[in-house]
Amino acid sequence: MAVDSKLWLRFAMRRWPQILLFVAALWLTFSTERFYTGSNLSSILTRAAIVGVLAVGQCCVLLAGGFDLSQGATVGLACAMAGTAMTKGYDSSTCFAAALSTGLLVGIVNGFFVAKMGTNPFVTTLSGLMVVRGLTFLVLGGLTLNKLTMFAALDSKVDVAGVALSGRAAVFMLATSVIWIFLRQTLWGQHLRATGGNAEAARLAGVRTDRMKILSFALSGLCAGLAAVLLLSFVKVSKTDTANGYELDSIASCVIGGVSLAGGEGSVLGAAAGCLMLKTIETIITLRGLDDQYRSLVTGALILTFAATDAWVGRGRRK
Amino acid sequence: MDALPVLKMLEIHKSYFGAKALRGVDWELFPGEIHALCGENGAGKSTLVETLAGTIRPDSGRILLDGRDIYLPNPSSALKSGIAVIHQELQLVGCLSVAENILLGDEPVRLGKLNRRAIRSHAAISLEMLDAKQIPLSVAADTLPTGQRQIVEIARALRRQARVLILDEPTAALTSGEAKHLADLLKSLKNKGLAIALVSHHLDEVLALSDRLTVLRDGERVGTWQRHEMDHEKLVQAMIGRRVTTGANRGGKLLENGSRSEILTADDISGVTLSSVSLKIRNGEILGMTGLAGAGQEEMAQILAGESVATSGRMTYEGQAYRPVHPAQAQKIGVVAVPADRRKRGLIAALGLGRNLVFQRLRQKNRFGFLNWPFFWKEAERLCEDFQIKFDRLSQNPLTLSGGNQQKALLARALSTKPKLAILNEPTRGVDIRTREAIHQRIEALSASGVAVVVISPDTQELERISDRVVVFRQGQVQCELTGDQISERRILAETAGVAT
Repeated sequence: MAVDSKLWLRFAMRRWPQILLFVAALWLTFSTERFYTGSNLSSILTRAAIVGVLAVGQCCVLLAGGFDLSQGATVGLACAMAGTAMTKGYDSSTCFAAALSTGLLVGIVNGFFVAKMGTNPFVTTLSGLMVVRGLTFLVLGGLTLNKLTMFAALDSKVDVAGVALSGRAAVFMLATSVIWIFLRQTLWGQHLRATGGNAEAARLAGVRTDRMKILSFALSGLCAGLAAVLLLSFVKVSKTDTANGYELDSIASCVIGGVSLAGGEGSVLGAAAGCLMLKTIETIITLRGLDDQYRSLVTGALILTFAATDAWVGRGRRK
Repeated sequence: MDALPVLKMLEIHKSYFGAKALRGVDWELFPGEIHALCGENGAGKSTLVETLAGTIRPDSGRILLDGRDIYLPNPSSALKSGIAVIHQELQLVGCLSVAENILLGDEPVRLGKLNRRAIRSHAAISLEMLDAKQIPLSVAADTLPTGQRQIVEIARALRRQARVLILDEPTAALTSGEAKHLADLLKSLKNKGLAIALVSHHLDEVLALSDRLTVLRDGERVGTWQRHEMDHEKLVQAMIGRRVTTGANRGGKLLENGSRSEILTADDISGVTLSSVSLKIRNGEILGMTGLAGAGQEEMAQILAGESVATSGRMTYEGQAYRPVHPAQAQKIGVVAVPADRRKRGLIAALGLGRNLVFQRLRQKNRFGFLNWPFFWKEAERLCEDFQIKFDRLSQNPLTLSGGNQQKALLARALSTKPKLAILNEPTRGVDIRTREAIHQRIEALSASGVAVVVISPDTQELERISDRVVVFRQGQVQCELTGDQISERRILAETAGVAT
């Protein structure tokens, strides 16, 4: 494509709510004295890692025109499976495989129902959430598994190009890049996006839309499995209510990152950035000494403002 | 006519993106008449009807009701003025009962509470006036057969004191028994003083029912006649008119070259609208398929392209058994289709123009699933140049292009896959005359290079212009196959309507 001098301007026009938020976050960051320290900045990336990986998976499902509410529950089940594997004496790579395959399996089942049975994604993954929570309860027998140290290695710092990054932050960045390249540079990525953009047109153009829907849920499940590994690396505990409600944070990250809930539009980079912004705002609220209960209030109001501006901008675009 | 016209339209103009749909149309409708609006596709009938329904605002012109100017900015203002339009797609709320539908928007309320008894009794009265007491009041509207749903909608219109009733293709989806019942109903309503306008492609039905006829062509009124001044021959002539053809008609050019080999044969194909249709498609020919809406040509095109599956029958493609259950399978072996509905079934807005243009080539050219975008961007630019697509930038939303450019983009997308059989659904629907000619030349060049082309179109002029052979569908079967000199607008029109000339 020819180099377009107006490209940046166009990007700014389309994404101005995000840019506004970014500027606001920046301003808040610098005006909050204690915030601007190196350790705080890298810890944001670390803290965003778990929800960030989920948001990247959620973004795949949204791009394909779906919706995944079962992510949090899937993280919980994957933790339970990996934890059980460890207590049975398996090594950490087996535990890792257990977590990922649990997530993948849940995703494929969700995708199968949505694509092949034609159930609504919202209903499918809502009931999926309940079923998976129930399974977690059965796996754990209602108990809590402690001292799950098999992924503790990820909690240490690694040196990436002279910058000290936590293992979790590195995994988050790696997962985001891999999925970003997958969606942009591969045939399946392109077909997945087309499925969400206009499923009927995509089918007529030769896209196996059913398979693409299953693929998107499978990716989301896989991300949930990976998020479980990241979570265990730092809390080292598996409970029946682990990661409760994380799916809502991941959807919120996507909304803030400009991923369309109607399908087809958005990018995993946006979703990841949305998650970083969400965590930044949360951190600022904490650092400013506001009570924890304000956190939910402020983030909620923020997301609503976002959705409203986005809808308003979109209305102008349609005319 | 002794009375004054109830509805009068003066100098109505309407254009879409520069294409003129109506150019100064005058029209009068009197109480107590059934007035037929005739014309080919794109003649402006629908635009005129939509203007009266309040769904389209004309660019200029006046609409007078009882001699007074009225303004119809939205559908409810049309209803309030007493103009009711019964669309081909019926507008009932399927989950509500028949009675609730008849009173919809006008529900009797007592002390803030819906008066269900009154709803039933009012609805019963409405249906009785239409001699339709057999329609049950309490069943959900979408469980009724189409004919009865139509009557429910008419009942609703009359309940709202409609004085002008406009029906758009009312019998398209009716059985012959239902159509006869509707005809009787319309005659009795006419005798009660209602002004009725009828838009229909079924010429015999138009001639049987109407008192007067108005013919539109290319957005202009050709004329208005009393029924006794008209017959089939004159009506068809008025609809076709004398038109400038932009390119030479092919007129069975292929016959001179002798018969060519068949690329596809279909035997005894049945489906939802089709019953045992057989046809052959030859290499390098342009085959026209036409018929009224729902006559089977659309479904045949879908079955050929793997978009839907025949319930029975056999097909062969290049001598091999052919039974695609997904468009991807058809495309893999060189059968590609271009859908008629560009916005809903064609272009993918979220992807931008450039990605749309190369979309169907992605599968052909990738390395282990990885795409070489620089190559594809170059390819997209080449296609834009080749097909003369006017665009702003490759990342723009393709739906912001004009209709003609959208169509060219879709053609470019499909033809860049180098198909052996191209199935084009209404390739020039809603495009301007110059683009239309460009597309026709493109289709001819395609056939000259040996590609078999199927064109599905209701446009008789188009078929006369480009087809080597025309298959006319009627009620799910092949009515006739026209070749050579037999391909004329008049003959095609007569065969689609089922009237022998």
